[in-house]
Amino acid sequence: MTPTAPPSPAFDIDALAALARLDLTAAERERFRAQLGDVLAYVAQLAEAPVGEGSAVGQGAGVRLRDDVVGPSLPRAAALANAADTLAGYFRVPPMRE
Amino acid sequence: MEGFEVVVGIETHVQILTRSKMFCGCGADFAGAEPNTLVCPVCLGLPGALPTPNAAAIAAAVTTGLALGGEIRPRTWFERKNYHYPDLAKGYQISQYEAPLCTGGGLEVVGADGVRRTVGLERLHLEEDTAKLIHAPSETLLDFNRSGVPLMEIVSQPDMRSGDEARAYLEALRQLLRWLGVSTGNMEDGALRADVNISVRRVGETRLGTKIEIKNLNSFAAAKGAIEHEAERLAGMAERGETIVQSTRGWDERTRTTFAQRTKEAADDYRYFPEPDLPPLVLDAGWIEARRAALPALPAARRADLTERWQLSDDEARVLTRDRATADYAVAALVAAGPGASRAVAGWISGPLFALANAEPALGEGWTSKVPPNALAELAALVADGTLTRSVARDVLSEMWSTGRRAAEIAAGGARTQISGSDALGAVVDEVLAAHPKPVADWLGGKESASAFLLGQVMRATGGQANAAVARDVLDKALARRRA
Ligand SMILES: [Zn+2]
Repeated sequence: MTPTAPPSPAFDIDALAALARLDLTAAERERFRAQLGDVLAYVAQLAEAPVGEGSAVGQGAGVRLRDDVVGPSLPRAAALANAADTLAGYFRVPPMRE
Repeated sequence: MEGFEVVVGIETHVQILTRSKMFCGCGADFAGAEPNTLVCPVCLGLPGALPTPNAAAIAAAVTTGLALGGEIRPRTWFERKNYHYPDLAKGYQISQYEAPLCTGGGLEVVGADGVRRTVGLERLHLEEDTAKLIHAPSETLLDFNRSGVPLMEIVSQPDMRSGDEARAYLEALRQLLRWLGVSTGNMEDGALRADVNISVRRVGETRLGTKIEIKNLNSFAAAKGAIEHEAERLAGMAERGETIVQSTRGWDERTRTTFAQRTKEAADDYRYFPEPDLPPLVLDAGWIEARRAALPALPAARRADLTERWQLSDDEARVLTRDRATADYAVAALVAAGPGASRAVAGWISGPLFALANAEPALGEGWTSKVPPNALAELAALVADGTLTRSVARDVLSEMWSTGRRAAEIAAGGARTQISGSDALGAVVDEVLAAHPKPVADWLGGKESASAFLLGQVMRATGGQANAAVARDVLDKALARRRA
């Protein structure tokens, strides 16, 4: 980080932790707040780089498309092979009722 | 609700009718497939798997956007919508955010009051469907067959003002999707799903009230019911001065009430960003124009043609444009029958012919080839020139339906031609008068109404094949002769 780095954009460490499903200790909150602040300040600095007109998003040659043809799928046993848990051909996870 | 107005916008998710999925070659026809048999590294979100967009899904979305009068972006891109839920193996859904494939346009809707309005559209974008979850008390089971099926999300403007209007919008949208052949539009299968945004405000207020979202309405009736219930609830809260918090609610079909699901707050931070695995989607201007040129005549244009050129009523036009096959059939029959016969032809289609088709639902659109349009026009002409009575013609139509023969042929072969010669009828009338001396005496005694009974007996004796006007004339003359 150079001394001229722009200030870090504002963020709410508690909201981010909630989205990431992390329970942070007070010490972790402060450590990650500082680290994330540095990262965001660095990204903000990148935004100042002269990259010319417009954004790079949507530039370049177009994506190659696929014809609408059905190809082979995985055998179910292979699809389920790495699942933590399965039941009757389904992936099985803890109850998720809304 | 007195003094309040409900404002409704609808987001629909539409499964696009393709053979394969949006970004992989797995089959998209998952109905009836064993769980997790239509899956591959791409739609299971396995690390390192790369998506490749389905050209047919993009073509279908462009066709739909054009049919809705929207503007197609020639250069757009996909984005990642990030959230954590087991229905998304990748942890994100490939969708579009900043640059939807299509913006603007509108859909003509005929409300319950018969008034036509256009519901404006905000956007149409492409995305992929998620896995199906089966909830049990102790576990949740996942089937990824649906994961990656192509979806269009179509977002309306907040232009609707009642549950009926919202229902009419969904019906018009389903009709158009089926018309274009881009989706089955079956709400009961989840091929068309509606999320409804509702707010209320005092009449005269121009700002929008706080918005409540009701997700996953899976029938027209549910959409209408949920809106009507929620509008009442929100108006009641506003009336009592309670604060409405922006939130998502569900609809309980059993109790016909909405219930709280979650408040908005931080839950919807989807952290959209451009999908790094996919270069931009670039559509050739000539290709877009070719799709526009290939659009069929659409329901609204067909309705206008039927009312203006063929002088049919709004109702007749609506019935005859219920789907594209019916509309094509109706126009062909109208053209074959020529001007002047349009009301009669419309009546034959929406009455007896629909009844025959409804009795054989397995035919689907195939009913239109059972009695070709020009054959129906011929039947209508035989009724118009008095060769067949309406009741005989109905039987002739049934025979045309089951045998494929033409009306004139059936009529000639089966002695079904109307008995209109007064000589032939004269004999029948004489028999009837001889068989019913009492009514004849009544008539001679001044009871005019007795002749109606006698006419009925004449019609019955001819099996309904007498021309009623001629029969009346012959009967009147025969009675008059007796008086003299
Ligand atoms: Zn796949």
